[in-house]
Amino acid sequence: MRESLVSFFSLLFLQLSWFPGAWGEQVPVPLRDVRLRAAVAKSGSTFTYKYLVMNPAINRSQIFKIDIDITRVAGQTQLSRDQLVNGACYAPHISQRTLQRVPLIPVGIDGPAGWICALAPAGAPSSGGLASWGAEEQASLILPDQAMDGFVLTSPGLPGIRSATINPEIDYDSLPVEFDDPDKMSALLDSLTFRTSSVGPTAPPAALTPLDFLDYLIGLVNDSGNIGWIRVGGVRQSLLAKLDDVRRKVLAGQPTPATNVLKAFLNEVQATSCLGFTCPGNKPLTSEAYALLFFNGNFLLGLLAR
Amino acid sequence: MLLFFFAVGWSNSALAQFKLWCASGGGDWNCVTPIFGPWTFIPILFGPFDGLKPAPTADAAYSELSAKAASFSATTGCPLTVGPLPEFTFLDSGSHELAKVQVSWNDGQACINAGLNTVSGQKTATVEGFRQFLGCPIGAVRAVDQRTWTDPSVVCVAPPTPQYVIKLSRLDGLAPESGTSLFSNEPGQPSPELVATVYDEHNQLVPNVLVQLQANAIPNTGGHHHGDNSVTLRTGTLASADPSANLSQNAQILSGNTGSTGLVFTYNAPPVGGDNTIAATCIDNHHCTQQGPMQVGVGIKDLQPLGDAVFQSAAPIRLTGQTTRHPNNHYGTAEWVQSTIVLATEFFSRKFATLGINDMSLAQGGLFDIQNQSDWLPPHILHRTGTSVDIDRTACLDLTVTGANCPTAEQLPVNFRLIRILCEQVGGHILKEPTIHCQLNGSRS
Repeated sequence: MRESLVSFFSLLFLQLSWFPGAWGEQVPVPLRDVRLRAAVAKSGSTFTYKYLVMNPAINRSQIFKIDIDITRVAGQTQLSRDQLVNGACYAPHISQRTLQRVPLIPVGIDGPAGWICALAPAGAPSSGGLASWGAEEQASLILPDQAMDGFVLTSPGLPGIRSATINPEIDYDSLPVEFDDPDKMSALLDSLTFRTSSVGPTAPPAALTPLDFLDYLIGLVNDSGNIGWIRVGGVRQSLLAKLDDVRRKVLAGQPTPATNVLKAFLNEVQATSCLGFTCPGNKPLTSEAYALLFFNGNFLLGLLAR
Repeated sequence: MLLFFFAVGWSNSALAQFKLWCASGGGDWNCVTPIFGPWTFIPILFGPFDGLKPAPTADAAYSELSAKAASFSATTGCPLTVGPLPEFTFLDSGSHELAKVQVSWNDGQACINAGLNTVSGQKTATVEGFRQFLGCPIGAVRAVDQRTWTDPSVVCVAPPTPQYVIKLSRLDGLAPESGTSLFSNEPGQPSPELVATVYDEHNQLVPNVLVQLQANAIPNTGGHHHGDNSVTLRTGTLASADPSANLSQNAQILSGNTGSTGLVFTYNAPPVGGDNTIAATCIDNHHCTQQGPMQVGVGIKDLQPLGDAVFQSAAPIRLTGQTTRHPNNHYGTAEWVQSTIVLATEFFSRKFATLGINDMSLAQGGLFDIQNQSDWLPPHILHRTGTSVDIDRTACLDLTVTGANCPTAEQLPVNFRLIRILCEQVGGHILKEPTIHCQLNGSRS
């Protein structure tokens, strides 16, 4: 009996911690383990970035907004916006103003039905910009245990590792009165933001040597391993070994052997990668790792050929 | 005693008229009170030789007059009635004044025998006051005013008092903001150190002058057309670490000695935006006038109005929320004004309805006190720095409507989620308020 009472009060405490304040008031719970998958394809000089957002069943909140960093930092190549097309979700006024104020990698943006998409300022303290999607309608929200695709960027920008944020739906009217305090409200919003990494367009430095870009590619292999986009340590080591070999040959002034080794690297990437969000055989490299290593490896191949 | 005050009061009234002359024609010289001997009041009932004695006060003279009339009535059987003593008429130079007293008789047959020659009638008795002009105070000389009075009036004038100038400046030596404005500050912030200094007519610093400083608010500034402008929440407060300094209980008045280099003090801006002044005076025997900038601007600089020729009366924006207390409630930073326009334009392009843009900030920012019953107090916690905007929960499909009066049939409930997206995509975030409040990210509360 005593144990039952303890359990009862423990449960009650847990409930109160989820629903503080008066009945009907509710503090949203931060999103957990959301996955923002990216798959990239190239057609001509344009990359198409497709995203899949997965809201796991453990979450209580619906997903309301997705932002991916597309800031162009100083010193990066300024790419052309030609031939980039935006979808029906595009908010032109917000996007045009953002383009006037914030340096961005050029993108075309599209999104699923019921979502509004725009190029948006990242806001203080960042001076960067975002590709941003928000669900306008209740029916468009991504429920727990649901996935949604249709989030698309097109860009001449090479795939790079980009930070992304995902925000839950909030019922402002049900928030406890303590969140009338703007500082507490801002802190709550910040705490609810789910932060992750994904792949998005970026641009190579304007002043670039093959060796610099090779080091950048080595960094991408390491980062992909750390993030979990290369699932097998042996493949990671093999890829790094090939890039080290390329490096040695470049330093030795042997461009052709370097190119050959880099081609072998690209073959291995292709052979071990998923190209889409899912693939048969559970290959060691995710679509994100493929996008990063294959397209940047090809770009390096072009640099070496010069 | 009452009579004494009456007499003194009258003579002061006469002197006040001298002062008028001094003010209009005395030039730089100062009018000073002449020295007179004591007043003597002479009652006259029937003529100068009716034997009445002069008295030191007007009342005593009037009593004498009344007693003489009573005695005459008793002796002759002619019943005289003495009227009240009226106000004295000033005759000249402050040394001669006259009051006419009406004496009447009615149905008194004995009056014919008493020499008044009529059964009923009246005559005028007088009480006349005289005093001797003794001279002018030391340092003053006699002047004569022949403008106003038939008889030359007695006026004493003294050479001009030395004039001093009291100035306020920044202790750090930085120039004032303009010819009228000492500096500007954000609401609630302390000023740089200021100094009050007194100079003579040769622009030489005068040490050790007792000075007084007072913070005042200029009414109807900062977008506030209401309330008691004399309270510290509106005026700000003064402070000084100088050991000679004395501060009034409400900290609006500071007095102290300028010492060898001036009285150093600070001005704490109120939470309310607006224009304020710091009035400076000398409170010892120095005759000071304040020169130079004395105004202090309290507010957020460079806020811009959302309403302009384009947007005040046309889609995509309707300006709402104006009151007589705060008629101009749509100010923001240049960035936030543009963000608000873009937000409303984006909404309009999707819904073909105009958003009602409610309170933003006042012209100079600072506290935006929206409750009629609470001057200079919250509840608008934000709306102080030009980075907030309240959006009405209904848009208007009738594009000819420019303000809040959208017909019910034309009202479109605003999709909160849509505004949240647009708010976040222009760089803001939504806060929990009865209206839809969009706040610029990273802005100060």
